[in-house]
Amino acid sequence: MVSKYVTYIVRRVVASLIAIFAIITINFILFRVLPGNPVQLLFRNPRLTLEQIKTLEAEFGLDKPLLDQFLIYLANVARGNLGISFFYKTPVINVLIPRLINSIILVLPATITAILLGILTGMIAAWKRASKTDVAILTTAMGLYSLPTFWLGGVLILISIYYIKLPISGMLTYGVTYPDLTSYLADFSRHFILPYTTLTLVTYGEFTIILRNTLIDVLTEDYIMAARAQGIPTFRLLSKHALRNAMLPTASIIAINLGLVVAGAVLTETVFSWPGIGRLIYDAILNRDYPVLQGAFIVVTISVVLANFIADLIYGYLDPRVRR
Amino acid sequence: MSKRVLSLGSVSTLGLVVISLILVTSLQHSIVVYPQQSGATVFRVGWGGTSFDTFNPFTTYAQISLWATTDVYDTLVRFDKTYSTFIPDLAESWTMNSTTVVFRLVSNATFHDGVKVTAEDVKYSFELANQSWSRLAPSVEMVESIQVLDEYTIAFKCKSTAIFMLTAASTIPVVPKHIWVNVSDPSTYPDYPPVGSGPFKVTDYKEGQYIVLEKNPNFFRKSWLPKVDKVIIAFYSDVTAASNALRAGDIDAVGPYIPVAMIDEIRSNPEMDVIVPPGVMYFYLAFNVYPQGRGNPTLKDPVVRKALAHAVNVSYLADLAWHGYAKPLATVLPTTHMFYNPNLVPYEFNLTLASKMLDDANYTVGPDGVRRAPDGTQLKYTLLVPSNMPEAVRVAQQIAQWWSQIGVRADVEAMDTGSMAAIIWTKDESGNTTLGHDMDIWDWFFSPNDPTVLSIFLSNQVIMGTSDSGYVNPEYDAMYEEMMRAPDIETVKRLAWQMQEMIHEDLPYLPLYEVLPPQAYVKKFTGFETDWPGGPFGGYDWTVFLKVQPTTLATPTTSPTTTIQTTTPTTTPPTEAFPTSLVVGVGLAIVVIIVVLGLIIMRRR
Repeated sequence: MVSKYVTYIVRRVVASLIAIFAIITINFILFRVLPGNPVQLLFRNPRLTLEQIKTLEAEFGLDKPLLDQFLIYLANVARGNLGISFFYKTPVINVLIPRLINSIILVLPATITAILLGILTGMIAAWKRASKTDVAILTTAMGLYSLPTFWLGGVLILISIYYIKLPISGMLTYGVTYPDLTSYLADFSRHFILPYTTLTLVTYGEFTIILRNTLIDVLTEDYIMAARAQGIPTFRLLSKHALRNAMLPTASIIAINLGLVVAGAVLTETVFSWPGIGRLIYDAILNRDYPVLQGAFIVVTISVVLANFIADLIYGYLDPRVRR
Repeated sequence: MSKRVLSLGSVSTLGLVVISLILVTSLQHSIVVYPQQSGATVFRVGWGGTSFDTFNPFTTYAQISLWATTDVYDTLVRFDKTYSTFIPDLAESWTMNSTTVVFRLVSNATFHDGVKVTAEDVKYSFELANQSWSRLAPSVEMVESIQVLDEYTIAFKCKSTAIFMLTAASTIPVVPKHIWVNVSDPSTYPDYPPVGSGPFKVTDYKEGQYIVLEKNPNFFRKSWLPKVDKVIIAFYSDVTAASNALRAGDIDAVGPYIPVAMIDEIRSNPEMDVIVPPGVMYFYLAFNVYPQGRGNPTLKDPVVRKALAHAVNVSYLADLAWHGYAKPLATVLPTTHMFYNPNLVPYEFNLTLASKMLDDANYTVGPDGVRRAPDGTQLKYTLLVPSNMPEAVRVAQQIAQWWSQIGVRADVEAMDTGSMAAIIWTKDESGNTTLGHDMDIWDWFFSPNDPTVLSIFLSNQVIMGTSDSGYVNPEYDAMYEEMMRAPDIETVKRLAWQMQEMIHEDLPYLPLYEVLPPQAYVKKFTGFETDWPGGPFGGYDWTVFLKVQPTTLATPTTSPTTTIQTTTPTTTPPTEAFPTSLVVGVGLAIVVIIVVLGLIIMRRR
């Protein structure tokens, strides 16, 4: 049994490595297919000389054939070198890491809250299936899930400007000196509330709906009927017999969402000027900053693959059939 | 078993309760203002334009980077708001003859690290600026040689006339040689923290968040010492986010402009003011007239271009797009430019005349309502426009509508500027750059003292990727050369005017309107000028950070309105209970993750 599980793990590791390599390759091609190149955007400068354009192209490695560019890129990625940003003119890793941390600070708590809120509301909705409560929960979840992030963010900003007076941008009040850690944390959380609330509200509906639907499916199974016939109380029936089986699809969505935490949240970060990786990616696309784009996508890819890998492991552990 | 699953539900509930608790408590403390350094005045300006890139003055291409360091580095001279008068900065005086300029430096200037500023630093800075990787290389092109005469005297010999040397001297930042000489690769040097000799120094910077500038009390010219202790430049995703931050009280001023939709709102707030300074940016419609270009060949006929120009109402467009915050323009330089030709007027809007011109030139209307050239080519064009400028897209659609009334069809295609550039500057079979489009609407920003902007119409600019019209006219080229060698400023001006008349007549560009960038600030700050081209917060005014001051300082008679440091002396805000709950909340969140993961793993034990 154990040896079978080990082979399973090895198979998953190999599959993950192949996935990462494939994505690194696609990653390279994808941005080269985008029309326009970074130097061309700088072209819009009447004071740039032809010699300068050539120098810039050489500096960015854009004068070499595509295959050479790709090999250089592969070799660098293997060495953990993500290159120099065209726009910031500094190593990509120096730009990426602080942005990544900022994103995780915002997105991880919001995702966890969304998961908790989703599980709770989904359970209640399935339990009270077809009642007014169910309709209310479902409508709210679907409504919020389909709301454009920038709209909800905009509304919260207006509410803040006129009523609750919370800061609407950035992570901290810039330029203040904090007498102690307490006031630092207090200032941070005041900045944190609005983007966090927005992100939670627009994402939790996904979990609600999936959990509710799988739970309802499970509740119609024969063994539930049998359990009901035994006179097991509804709540116990739900939690002991039903939720366990219904958690499987939800668990995989949770794994993927946790993996995506490092991708940040472009819209929320933009609306609230949160200095996260999502906004960095957006700016990098506009500037055709290939190294930053590639670096960001590699980080995101690897963490999603990693999250999937962990989910696979858990599945393999949970469900012996998967291992074969 | 059931207990474990049950706890999943209860843990969710508990977690949510704690989180909402945190939310509510923090809302209760929302009026808390955090104590600043006692007595320090801080001016916070929000920037919603293109992001900050680097402190390195030789490699930056971002306006915000130039603006943020404009008072960190000194230049030899500075210009005033007319851009035609130069005032001393590091150079206390200068003498000029036809090809040589000699600057005499002040002797008491020091860099932020305490080292004296000497002529060697100036020479080294100009040499760095002249490297091929440097953005500033074209500005110092005319310098033939630099000679250090003594510690505080430096002479520049120019290849041609020396009149543009002062412009260069106002552009090249003076950096410390003793630091830069040890930099292995200045072309990728981030230059943080930047060491200059200016009235401000950079004390903090977080990429994507903010820059903190602090007053340099050792600055040599005491009359320029800043009135505030700190300036904070905060970066925003866009101008909407920045303007919202102003409304929320996060910042004191917004640049480079505020959205037109927010002007009334901000103006109605008694604590804020909106200003409408002269502009430095204009929109134009470019026709592809390049002889080797691939666009619709009918655009090479000047009659067609003139007819199209007569079918565009630029005054209407200025109003349509910017609701009164734009002015129709008749030439290819904004009105603030020192060489702007005021004698030119826009083509008269007259659809009948436009139709008649096309009729007379034998462009007859076909069965589908679209005109055809005698050779059968349809007057059917694709009009490219940047999608990130919604007002320009509206303008393009309006133009297409007018043209349809004279039998010309234009299909508006909005796209990002990278894609636009790729369509415009394309390669032909032999690998040369050519122009692939019909026409485009785009914008230019021009610093008001820069004569080289007229170079965008030179014949060689297509391969450079600057010209989107492909204008080729040897007469124009010759005139430009003559201008660069002109003996005096009057000659430069006369030639610049003639060149604009030539463009007006030949119409490679149809100028549309210049934008007056509305900017906003809170009235508790004052002292700066509001009529610089580009405005105080547009990234062009180097004096704003030196002059800005709290209103209470400027007019002591008025009742002291709240300034940042005086807002409610909340020494001990009731923050105690709140962060405790925060700490508990964070701790709980971590516990919740562990529990959830544990549950999933152990569920099937």
